[in-house]
Amino acid sequence: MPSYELAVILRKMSRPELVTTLKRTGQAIFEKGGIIRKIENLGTRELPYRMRVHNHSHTEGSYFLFKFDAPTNTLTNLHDSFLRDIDILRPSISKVEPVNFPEECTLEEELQPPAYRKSVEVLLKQDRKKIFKKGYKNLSNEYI
Amino acid sequence: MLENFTNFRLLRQITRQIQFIRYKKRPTPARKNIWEPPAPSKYFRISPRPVIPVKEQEELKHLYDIYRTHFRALRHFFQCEYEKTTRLSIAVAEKMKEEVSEHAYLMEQNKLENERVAEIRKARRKCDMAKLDDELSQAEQSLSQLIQEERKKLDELVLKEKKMNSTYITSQTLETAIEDALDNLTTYDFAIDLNGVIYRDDKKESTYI
Repeated sequence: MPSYELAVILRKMSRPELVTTLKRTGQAIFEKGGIIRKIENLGTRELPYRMRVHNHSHTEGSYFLFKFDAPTNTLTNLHDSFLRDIDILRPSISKVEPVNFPEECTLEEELQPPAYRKSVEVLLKQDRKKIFKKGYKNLSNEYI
Repeated sequence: MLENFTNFRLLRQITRQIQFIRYKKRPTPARKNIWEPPAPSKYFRISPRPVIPVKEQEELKHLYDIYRTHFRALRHFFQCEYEKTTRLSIAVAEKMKEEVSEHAYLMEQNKLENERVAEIRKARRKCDMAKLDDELSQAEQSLSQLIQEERKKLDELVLKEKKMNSTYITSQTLETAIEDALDNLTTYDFAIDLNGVIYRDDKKESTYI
């Protein structure tokens, strides 16, 4: 099961109502055979623009983040159920890719200007190779 | 005609006098041009077939038959003569013999060359096969190593997940987790120092409703 993030915007509600809607979303994930790793509250604030959902316009909303794992084939159903929920303004599920940090990496190296960084040097070499190959190909077409 | 004129000035004078006729109005009794349609008065006119007398036609046919037979005989004669000079002559036969012998010699040479090349090819193929075997064994080794590494990584992942198992939110602990989340607001809007010190903007907190 790959891990996903559900960033959800709920309409402005009282605390008990919020709890019930969050419970509902959590239970929906459990019913599909998922695992919830973490629930985060990102606060209640003004929306960036007026959202019109289920025939009601909203200017404020509360933001929550669910970190969960679920089977891939259940995601569309999950998203659909969230869309049908009246209290949810915007549900968005995105995949969490594992971050692979480089093994050997020091802050001193990273703070150097780009031309002196090892990673950039490798990229430059690759580019040079490409250019050489291109030139050689053109030559072969014309003269051989 | 123009070759005779070595004097250029004269030539130019002559060429100036030449007129190129693109279209000329045809004189009264003349043939119509090919692209012009038939005259409206001649649309339904059927031209009469030429009448040839029977005797005259028979005579013409007889003459043509004679002409045809004579010419066939002549053609045959010429063909025979030509064959005598080419295919049936002694010089030609000798040449043919030479060619046959040369062909045999060349075939033999070709066979020898083929044998020589075959030997070289055999050796090269043997060498190639050895190389391929070496590469295959190396690839097998590297693949088995890769599989082992992958298995190790997966085992590590499974162990890690097993350890994390206690921190998962279950349906029983869902309500408490939600309450906890509602109490503790998390903000990712902060700056970080080289020493890992986190700076938050207290003024921005007030913008939260």
